[in-house]
Amino acid sequence: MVRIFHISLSIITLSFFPLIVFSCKDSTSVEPGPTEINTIISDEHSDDASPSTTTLIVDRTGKSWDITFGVTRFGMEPRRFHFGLGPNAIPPILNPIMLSPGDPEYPDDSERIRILGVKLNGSARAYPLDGLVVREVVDEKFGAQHVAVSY
Amino acid sequence: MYSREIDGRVLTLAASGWTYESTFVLYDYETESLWYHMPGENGLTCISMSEFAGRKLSEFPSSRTKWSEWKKLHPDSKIMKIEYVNKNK
Repeated sequence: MVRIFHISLSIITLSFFPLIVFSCKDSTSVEPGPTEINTIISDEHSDDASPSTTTLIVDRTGKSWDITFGVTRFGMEPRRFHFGLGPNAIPPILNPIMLSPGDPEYPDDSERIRILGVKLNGSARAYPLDGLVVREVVDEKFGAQHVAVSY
Repeated sequence: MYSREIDGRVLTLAASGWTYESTFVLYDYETESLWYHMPGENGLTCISMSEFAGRKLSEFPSSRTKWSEWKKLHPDSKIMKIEYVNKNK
């Protein structure tokens, strides 16, 4: 098992090598993230002399996202937003499969799986952090309460 | 964990693809508003100038811990099944 692990690690490292080399060499390459920031000034909704400002960030697919309230009320900076793969690349888990005590795949009490644990409306549920990191959001329901479990 | 209910509506929350200072920014399918957990505040704040501008989705307490510890407190707890994690026995 140990030897296989080392071989796998070597393969993974070697696979990344050309990526690292080419990233370092090309200083003009565009890193993943917002390719442009648009600030649009709009005075449609103001009654006084000062125009209201709408701030949008544009992702790599060309889609615009409104961050106006984040900017004006919380001082968020458009350039600190970074874009990864896109909203459809990481779909939320909408129908999580929950294992109960007695189910064949239910983990042993002694397993040190890292989880996010929640108890609500009499129901205790654990969400493995490995799964949450990959899918980011689980849309769930505890009784009548709709919730989002996120990393 | 956050409520997805606001003004009698149920929102579907998902990752927007954006992060802000290493924290994922969520959005809802219904209005495409962006939602962000503002540091020092409870819940998710709508940062878009949409119908939910400045509104919050409330937060429920959650624990980051190990399954073995969680089970001591909640012996009847369910756990989400992960298809792609290999358990090495």
